[in-house]
Order: sequence, then structure tokens, then C-alpha cells
Amino acid sequence: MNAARQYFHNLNTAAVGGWNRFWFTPSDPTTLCVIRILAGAMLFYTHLIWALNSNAFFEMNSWLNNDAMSLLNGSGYSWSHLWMSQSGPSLTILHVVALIVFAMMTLGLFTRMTTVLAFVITVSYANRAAPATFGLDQINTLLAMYLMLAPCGARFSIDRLLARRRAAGSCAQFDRSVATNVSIRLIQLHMCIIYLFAGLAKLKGPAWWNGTAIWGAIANLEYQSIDMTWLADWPIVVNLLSHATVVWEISYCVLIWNRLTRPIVLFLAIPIHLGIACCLGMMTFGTIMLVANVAFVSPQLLRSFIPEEFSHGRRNVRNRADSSKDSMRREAAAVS
Amino acid sequence: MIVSVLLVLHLSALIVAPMAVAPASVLSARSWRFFQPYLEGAFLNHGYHFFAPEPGPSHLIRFELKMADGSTREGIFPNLEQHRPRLLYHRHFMLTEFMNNMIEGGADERIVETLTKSYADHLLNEHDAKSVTLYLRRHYIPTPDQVGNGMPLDDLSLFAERPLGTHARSSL
Repeated sequence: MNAARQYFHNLNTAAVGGWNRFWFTPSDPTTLCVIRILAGAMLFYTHLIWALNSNAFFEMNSWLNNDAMSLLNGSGYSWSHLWMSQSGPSLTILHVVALIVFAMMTLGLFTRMTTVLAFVITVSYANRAAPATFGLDQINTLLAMYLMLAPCGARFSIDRLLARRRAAGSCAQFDRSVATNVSIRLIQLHMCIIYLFAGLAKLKGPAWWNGTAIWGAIANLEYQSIDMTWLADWPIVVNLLSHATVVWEISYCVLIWNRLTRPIVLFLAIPIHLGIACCLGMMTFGTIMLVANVAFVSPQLLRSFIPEEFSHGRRNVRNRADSSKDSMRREAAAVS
Repeated sequence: MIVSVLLVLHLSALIVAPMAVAPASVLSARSWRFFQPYLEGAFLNHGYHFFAPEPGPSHLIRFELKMADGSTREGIFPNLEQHRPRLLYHRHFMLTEFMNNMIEGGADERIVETLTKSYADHLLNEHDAKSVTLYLRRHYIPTPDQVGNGMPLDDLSLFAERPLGTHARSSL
């Protein structure tokens, strides 16, 4: 009886400790800031294409008119501010405001405010034209949602330049933070869920078992942007690519957490998503999936690619590193 | 503690969304109903079934327009030559795939009719036509052997059509 009690006590202690370490350890914002720039640029481009084709998707006589969307959105939860205006200058103004918000988010200007607005606008556009959306919009939304939770303008941003000017070089307010960690963890877990269910859903299809599924994608003329049908003469390669896709997707949520296997999993994401981008005509979707995978790249590694003076200025590096350690200790103490 | 509870709820919602895609258990369906406002409101209600259960035929919509002067015109969407850049083409491709999903998924007839009318009204308005007839065109995938024997991907034998209906401008 005592052994059982001890076991559950240890289990509880380990679970609570692990949970707190996983979610509430302050982390460096570099990775999140890089994601902000890349996701912001994609959001800008996505909405620029929406805006330039407003008559096709958002105006009164668009492909998806009021009657159709009211019926499709029977529950009424899929809100959109775009229902307020369906023609004329007011709709144009809404598009322009959206593009300004995404541009500001990308550049890192008033980032805490613009990321919240970016999320609201992204959801609103997607809900308004839901039948015309696809994977790109799903990843756009999740990135916008998690970026608004943390100070993703802490690096590589106009906010940072302004703060440095105000504080004469000291940027203590841009230290590691728990919010940054929560945001990164949410992107990571969301990607694991996406790949897991993408892989599991494939197990229902015979073509993924008999190894011909990839042929179904590359021989689809409506998707095709590079002709890969020469693979008809290489069935073993088609089989290998089909099986590797399923194995990679299903194992992603396990292997990505191990320090040794993570680089392999991330490295494999590149040909898989570049293949989708280049061969299946979905450059935007392939790219945004790779952007979301950046959440698993450590801030240290990213910083090694970025000149220090651009990141935070040579003189401040040591001071800030010390201050980061101090704040980590403080926050760890607070958590414990 | 509050943050932890919110995180658990959020992650539960994310898992319930793909779990509730048919065939789903009663537990998944009921859980989905609980999370529905959050999932739909935040555009998180997705199954993530990319190319699953397997890559199948694609779907396009062919249309025949009757103009006021009695002439006829024909078109198809999505259309790579007309819809550029590629993202715009893909948006139109999703519209036609959505129509097929509604029909194949056994959606209410009223939804399919209203959606067809919405597409038809857009075409009538865009081309200033008198009436339009729409057809859902299915484009089957040729086998590797067929392609190896010289069949092009757009061989006529790979297409099948079903009418979606005729709509007149007076209904606008």
C-alpha cells in the first residue's frame, strides 16, 4: 500500500515538474521573432492576393454570396468583419488596413498590437471565404494565433530599434520570457498534431499501403507544376516516397523531441515540403509548413546565422546574457 | 494554474477537431460539439487530411454561357491561364473541390443548390450573360502503365461530367 502511495506521489511530482519545465521555462525570443518575419510576409502576400481579387471572394456577387455562406455557416460561430462591407470604398479600406497591419507585423512595429490584429484579420478572411481556403490558411492562422501571445517583436524589429534608442542601448525588457516559451511550445505541439493526423488519415487509403499514392499526386494535372511522370518507369521510387511520407508524418510527433533525431526529422521536412511546393504547385503551402517547422530550431542555432550586431549589438551581448540568466533564475524560482 | 487549464482545453480542442471527422466515435462527436464555438470561431476546425485517405481525381467546373445576343461561350475553372498567380488558381481549385466534397459527402440538397446558384450568379454577373449551365467535371488519374504507354494526363477518356443545373440571369 505504501509502495503504491509512493509511486503515485513520485508520478505526481514528476508530472507536475515536467509540465512546468516544459511550459514555463523562460526562453529566448530569437526563434519566435524569425517566425514573425516569415509568417508576417506570408500573411501579407496571402491577403494581397485576396485583396486584389476582392470581387471574386468578398463582394456581393462573389463566388460565395450571402445565401451560400449563411447556409454553410449554420452554427453562426464563423464570424467575419468582412460581412460589414461587401462593395465600394469601405471594403477597399478594410483590405488596405489588413495589408498595413501585416506589413507592420512583419517589420515589427507596435508588434504586440499588430499581432493581435493580424490574428483577428486572418481568421476573419478565412471564415468569410472558407470554401476557398486550404492548408496554407490553416497554418497562417495557427502562427498568427501563437505569435500574438508572446513578445515576438523582441528582435529584428522596429520596436527593438525604438526601444534601444529610448533606453540608450539597454534592452532588458526583451529578455527571455515564459510567454515566448508557451508560444513556441504551442506551435510545436500543433505541428505534431497536424502531422500525426495527416499520417493517420493516410492509413485509411489503400494507395498509401500499396505504395502508389505519390503517383496519384504527381500525375494529377490540376496540381502539377513540374512534370514528374517520368517516375512511371521507377515504381520502386514511387513506393519508397509513399511509404517514407507516411512513416515520417506519423513518427514526427515522437522523433522531433529527441535531440539526436530532431535534425534528421527537420532535414527530411525540407524535401517533403519543397516537393509539395515545387512539384504540386503549392509554393505558399510548402513554404509556410517549413516556416512552422522553424519552431523546432534552437535560438542559438538561428543566432549563429545572424550577425550579432544585427541581432542585438556586440556591446550588449554579454550584459544581456547575464541579465537573461538572472531573469531565468528569478522565473524558475517563481515557478517552483 | 489557470494558464495550465487553458492550455489543456486548447490542446484538447485541437485533437478533437480531427478526431471528429467521420467515421467518429460518439465521444469524439460530443466533445467536438462542446468545442465547436471555439474551433469554428478561431478557424481551428480542421481534419488535417492532406492527400488522405489517398490522392484521388480532381474536380473542375465547366460552364456554358448563353449571352443576350444568342451566342454561347464556354469556360472552365480553375483555369491556369486565367487565374494567376498560382495561389489564386488554388483558391478557385478549392471552390470546385469543395463543391464535389459537398456532393460526395452527402450534404443537404439545399446547400448544394444554393452553392451552385452562388457560383452561377458570379459567372452571370462577370460575363453579363443571360443564363449559365454548370457541369462538375471529374478528372481521373491515369495509371503509370497508361502514362508509360503514351497516354497524356489530359486524355479525353480520363474525364467524366455531371450536370449541376442551369441558372438564368433573371434570378439575380
